[in-house]
Amino acid sequence: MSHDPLFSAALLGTARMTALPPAPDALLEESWKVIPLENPAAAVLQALALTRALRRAGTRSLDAPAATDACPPPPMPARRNPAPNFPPRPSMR
Amino acid sequence: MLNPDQITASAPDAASLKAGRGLATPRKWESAGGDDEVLWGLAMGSGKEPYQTRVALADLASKCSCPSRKFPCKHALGLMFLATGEPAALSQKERPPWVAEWLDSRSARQEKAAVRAEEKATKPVDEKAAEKRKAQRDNRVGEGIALLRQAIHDLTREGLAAAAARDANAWEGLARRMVDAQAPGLAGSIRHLADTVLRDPQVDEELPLELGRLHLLLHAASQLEAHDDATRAELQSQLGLRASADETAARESVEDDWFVAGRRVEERDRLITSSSWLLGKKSRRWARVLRFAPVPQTIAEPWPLGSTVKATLAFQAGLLPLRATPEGDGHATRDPVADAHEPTLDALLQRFAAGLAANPFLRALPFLTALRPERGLLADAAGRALPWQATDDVALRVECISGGHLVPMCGEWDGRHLRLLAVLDGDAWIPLAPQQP
Repeated sequence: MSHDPLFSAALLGTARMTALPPAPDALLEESWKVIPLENPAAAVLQALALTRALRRAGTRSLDAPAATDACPPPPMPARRNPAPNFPPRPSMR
Repeated sequence: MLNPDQITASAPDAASLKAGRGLATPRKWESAGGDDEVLWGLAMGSGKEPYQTRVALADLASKCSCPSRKFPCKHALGLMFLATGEPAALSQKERPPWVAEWLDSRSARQEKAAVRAEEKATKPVDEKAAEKRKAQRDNRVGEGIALLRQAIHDLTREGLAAAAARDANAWEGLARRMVDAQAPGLAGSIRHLADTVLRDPQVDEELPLELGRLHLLLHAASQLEAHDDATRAELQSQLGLRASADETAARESVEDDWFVAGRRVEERDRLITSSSWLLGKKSRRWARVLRFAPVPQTIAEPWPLGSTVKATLAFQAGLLPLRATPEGDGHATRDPVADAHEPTLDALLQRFAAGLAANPFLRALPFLTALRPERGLLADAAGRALPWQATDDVALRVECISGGHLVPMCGEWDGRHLRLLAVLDGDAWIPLAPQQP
């Protein structure tokens, strides 16, 4: 289970929630302040929508592992053009 | 242009495809012919009389005198394969009367349909009745939104770790209620939860996040008239509501050479959906083209994977317009060479972040980049990598094709994983997602 208080609130239920858990990132603090708290379930869902956008948009790439054993280029690449037409064999008759 | 990919995509099932391939030899045909518009042939079957088979090349429609109920039947598939594999076998150049009659009856039907469509378009609209229908529909959609909001709030109040929130059947029941409420887009979002999110190993995080997205959509959709035109169009599209005539007329048309980079074909509730990602070679713009067919029909894709199509696409209005409808048939050419859309994965991440800022409901964006597979990741030329999700079978195919080298790949990035749709092998694009339902 997630250790983020927002996810804990969503998973365990908001029935006894009195305040919105803190914003997971400083970038969301301003938005957090304007979330209405009359309906705690709606407030948590609204906070989750913001968190989703932040997480999805904030993904960073990883260092690529070093290439291990790449195949060598094929020694005889497949022929792209059809073989030329040879003249017909002379008749034996 | 007829090619084997197109014929394969039009086959109703694997058995027909196999039987059709077996008929792609002149020995199986009493006579065969073709021109720019139509193919025809007399197939030697078990009966006394040969079967009269015809295929219209414009839309791959077919007719055969055999007793099969499949469309196209194995004879039509065989005739198409024969035309691509051994065009010299189609020696007859003059159309037999039964071919000309079929074409005449088809064009007569099409003319009648066009007249009916014109009559419908020019018929004076009963504005009062239309307004009444719209009010009824808006009312039903509004009730559906309120019902779903209440259900999500109740589940969150009780806790999303509870069994009630993890019951796929209960979600399916809600999806059906949304279909009844004339909001099929909401039904699709709920089915995504039931089919994908509940099976995700990270379900404890993904279920709350996806419900957050759905809550935002319901909140915004409940006050539709308060938004600007683009946001309203996006919300209507997310709800699955049909665009009005004004909105349809306001679509942006883009003419380009569109490269068919990826395609996935799926079936749900006896409706087959083919979803293709197209990249404009000049505009560098992505477009998603959807085609539909009810089971047991099949979708005859006129634009094969890896081809380039000269066409005009009309983009649906929205916050980040991607869905487009072709205007006309377009002209497909076999031109598999496409420049990578982005040279690096970091450029894709930036585009995705900008896309989410524009459209918070965005789920995935397409990419076309040279990548190599490496230990569960896909790596780019700059030495950066992102997680990659694939079945064992697809992973093995991609590893074999790439051989550890960078190769152009098309797929989707959803903010967590890359999912591949096609990979370039030599000069052929190999599909990695289902091309048949």
